[in-house]
Amino acid sequence: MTFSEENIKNLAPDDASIKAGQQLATRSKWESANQHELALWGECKGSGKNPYFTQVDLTNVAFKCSCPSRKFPCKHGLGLLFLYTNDKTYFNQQKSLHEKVEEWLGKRGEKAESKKEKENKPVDKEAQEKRFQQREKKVQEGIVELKTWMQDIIRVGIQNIPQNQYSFSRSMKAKMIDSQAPGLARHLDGLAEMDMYAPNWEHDFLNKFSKLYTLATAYQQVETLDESWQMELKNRIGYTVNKADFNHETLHKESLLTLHQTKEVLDRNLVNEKTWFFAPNSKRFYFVFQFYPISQSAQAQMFMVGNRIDAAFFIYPGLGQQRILMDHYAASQIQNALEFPNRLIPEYHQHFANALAQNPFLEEFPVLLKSYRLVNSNQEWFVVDQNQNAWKIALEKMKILKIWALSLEEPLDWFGVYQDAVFKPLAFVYKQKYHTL
Amino acid sequence: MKDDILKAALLGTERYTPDFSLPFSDVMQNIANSSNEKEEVFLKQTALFYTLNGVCTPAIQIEKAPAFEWEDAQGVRVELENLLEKALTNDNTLLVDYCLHFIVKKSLIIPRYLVPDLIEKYLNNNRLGTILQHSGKVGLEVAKIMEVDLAKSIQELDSDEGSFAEILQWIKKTRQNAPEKIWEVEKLLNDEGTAIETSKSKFERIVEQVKVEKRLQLIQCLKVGLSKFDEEHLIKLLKSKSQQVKNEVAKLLVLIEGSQLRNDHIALIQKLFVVSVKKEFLGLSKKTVIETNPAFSFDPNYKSYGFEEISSVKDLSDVNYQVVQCIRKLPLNLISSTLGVPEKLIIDQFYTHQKQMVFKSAFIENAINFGETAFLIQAAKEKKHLPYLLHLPFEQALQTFEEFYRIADSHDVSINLLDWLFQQDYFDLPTKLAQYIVKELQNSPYIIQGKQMYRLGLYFPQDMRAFIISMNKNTNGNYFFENNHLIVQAIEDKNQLVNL
Repeated sequence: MTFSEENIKNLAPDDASIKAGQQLATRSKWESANQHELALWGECKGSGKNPYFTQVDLTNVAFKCSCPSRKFPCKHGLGLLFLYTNDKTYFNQQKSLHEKVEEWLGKRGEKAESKKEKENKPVDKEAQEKRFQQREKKVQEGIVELKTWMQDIIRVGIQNIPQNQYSFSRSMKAKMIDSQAPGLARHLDGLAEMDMYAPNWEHDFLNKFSKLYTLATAYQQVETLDESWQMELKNRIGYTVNKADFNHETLHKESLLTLHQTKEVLDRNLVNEKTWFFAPNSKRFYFVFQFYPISQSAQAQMFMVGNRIDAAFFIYPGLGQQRILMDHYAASQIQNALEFPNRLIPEYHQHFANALAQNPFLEEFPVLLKSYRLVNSNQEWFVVDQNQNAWKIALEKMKILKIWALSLEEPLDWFGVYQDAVFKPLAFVYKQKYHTL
Repeated sequence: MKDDILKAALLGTERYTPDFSLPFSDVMQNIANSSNEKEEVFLKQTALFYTLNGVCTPAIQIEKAPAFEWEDAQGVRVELENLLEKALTNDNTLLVDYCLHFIVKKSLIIPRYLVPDLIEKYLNNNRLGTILQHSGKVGLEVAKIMEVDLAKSIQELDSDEGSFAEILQWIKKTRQNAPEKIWEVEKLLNDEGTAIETSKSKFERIVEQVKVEKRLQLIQCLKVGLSKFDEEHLIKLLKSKSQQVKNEVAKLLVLIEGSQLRNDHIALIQKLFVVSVKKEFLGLSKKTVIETNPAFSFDPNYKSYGFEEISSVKDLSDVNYQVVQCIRKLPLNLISSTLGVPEKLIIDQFYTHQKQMVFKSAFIENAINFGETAFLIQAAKEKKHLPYLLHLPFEQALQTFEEFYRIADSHDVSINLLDWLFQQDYFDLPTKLAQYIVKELQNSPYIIQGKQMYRLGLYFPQDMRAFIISMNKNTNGNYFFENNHLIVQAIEDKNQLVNL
């Protein structure tokens, strides 16, 4: 597994932990530091009498430390990784694992096994069906209410909505939650949070509003559609798919490159983490969603951007789904570079149109762009292909300026997402170095 | 169609319903046929329109602009790039400042991808000019895109004349070699390439362009090679709106033998003072005494030299106030030679034996204005008033502080040394002085706190790192020991640039 400062920072629960971890990344703070192909471990001087024993699992990145911190990973774990990145020569190469480390890694393996056993326990299908029917009734009733409310809005016009931006959808969102349709509630949140003072807000609003309406209408017809469509719509309405719902025969095994990770703090300090992957063999994109309380990423799988993993995963049911549920993974032995396809913008448009013909509810299209220049034209920013076709860019101005100052309009390779007629860059390659945004 | 959708959405479908129908794909047919209510038809068609619009609109075409010629990035050093990036990422303003100081000192180029962050950080700061000077064409382009008021920032830099440091260098050199050349009228080339004489010299043009602080620095350079030739040009500068500039120019004029201003001041001294010899001890000894002339009346013309007629100091007569102003503004040797008395007599009478504080501070001001460093050091020793040392020239200040550690209270010396130090550009403090400070910090750990510890480290030589670490054995919760890792960190950060 390759570590960089950037992806160690990504693992940290907060900025304070990064700073504290960096301060611990000096030899003088560590009484010992050891390295084995499976793990790192070391003894860090703390305020107590005995040093803290810190361990890092290198196969499936994980941390353990004897310190009393509630944060995970703690500053000692991060410090050990920072030290490893900056000063590998300080680590003693060990042929065998320390007793404590062996025990911990063994327990982790056992836990994973017992978790699998639990998941494989048979479910009560009859009770499950009954629960589904009860929920389905609520969802359908909720959708009728939602549609009537939306029709009323469009009947009188949307011009007064900015004045009541934060309250206009509040009660309807609550109704959607009561109706057990959290997917629809999330869409209403998106409407309330959009910038209604930006130019062309009306188009952004109508875009989201009309698509929500169409989704609700489509779900009313769900029973007449085929199974893939049903699953697709259920996902969008907010039905969750548990690990137990997957057929274990559909477990997919593929080598994946970790492309990008974003963390967004939702209500009640819950972190929503989205990690993008690319499968070089099938040329497909996938993503994993993880939710965990802020400063407690202990339960989450830790993915390191820029690394290649041998992964076993389930693809969520639906139409052309990119969302996956990671079953297990390990650092891959092959760490080759990402290959960017040589495609022009019109080819991508054709590709998107084909995908939309299959599933009109698709919202974002991940793409890899090869040799696209970043260009400023009349105070607007674009990525431009070799034939001067361009996409507008959606990114903070300072980040754009930094990339521009670095590349000076030289072509760059990009990873990003195309959505609502703009390209949102998530990473770029400059002089063979992969930079995430 | 886009306009139709917008019109219907804003007015409401009750008042306007557009007539459009986009074809649905087979898959969506079921949904499309579900209802014919006009709101439903409108919303579904709108959704389809935006879906198609997102991917089916033709790509925008951008005209290929001619390739811009950027300068080479040869001046960029990896070590500096890493350190500056770290400083910006951690929002360590002190380290950013240190890196900028280093860039200016070594005439390096700022790594270009850090330019936007630096411009943003120093957008409303005086250092923006320096940053733009060292960012090349990229900096100017980024500033343009960020809509930075270039006219305001570039006031401080003149791409034709070079950096401010280079301008100072040019003035100093010219004054040493051919001082009169500084006033040579500038010749500029017109469109046809023929030289046209302008009404000003290059020096005068530059002085007009820069802010007051820098103008003072430029004018101070004229002290070298000062002669009667400079008078007519300096008189023009005396018309400046800034009182600071006026005072600085007057200081120079008074030093020029035979200048009008000097002669006027000599006349003032002659009118203001009367020297008499008094007999003491039954006529056995004589004593020379300087007194104020009871018949003195203030000539309003002196107001143009910055003299005030009425005393603004409590319990000080107007005539004595004139004495104070003379001491402040005129070199002591001018007063002494005009009156034909030794300087010591003036000091004895108006400094040593004068109880009113205003006289004492006038002498200090005189010493600061005319570089009477020996007087300042003596005054600091006698009065135990170390802030006087802050006005000493750099090298002398370093020596004097070290000397004072042996003769004065080390706590006071440390406080004043730190005050002085933080006013200086970054340099390596002599190890001995650095050790004195650290030892004092051990006893009085709260002299400086927090970020100032890091700042202090940026002035420390490399060998102080081991010295501080070796002290950290029995820390006992002392604030200094708890926080001196900041000093060590600063020394380590500095060390990264040591080989550049």
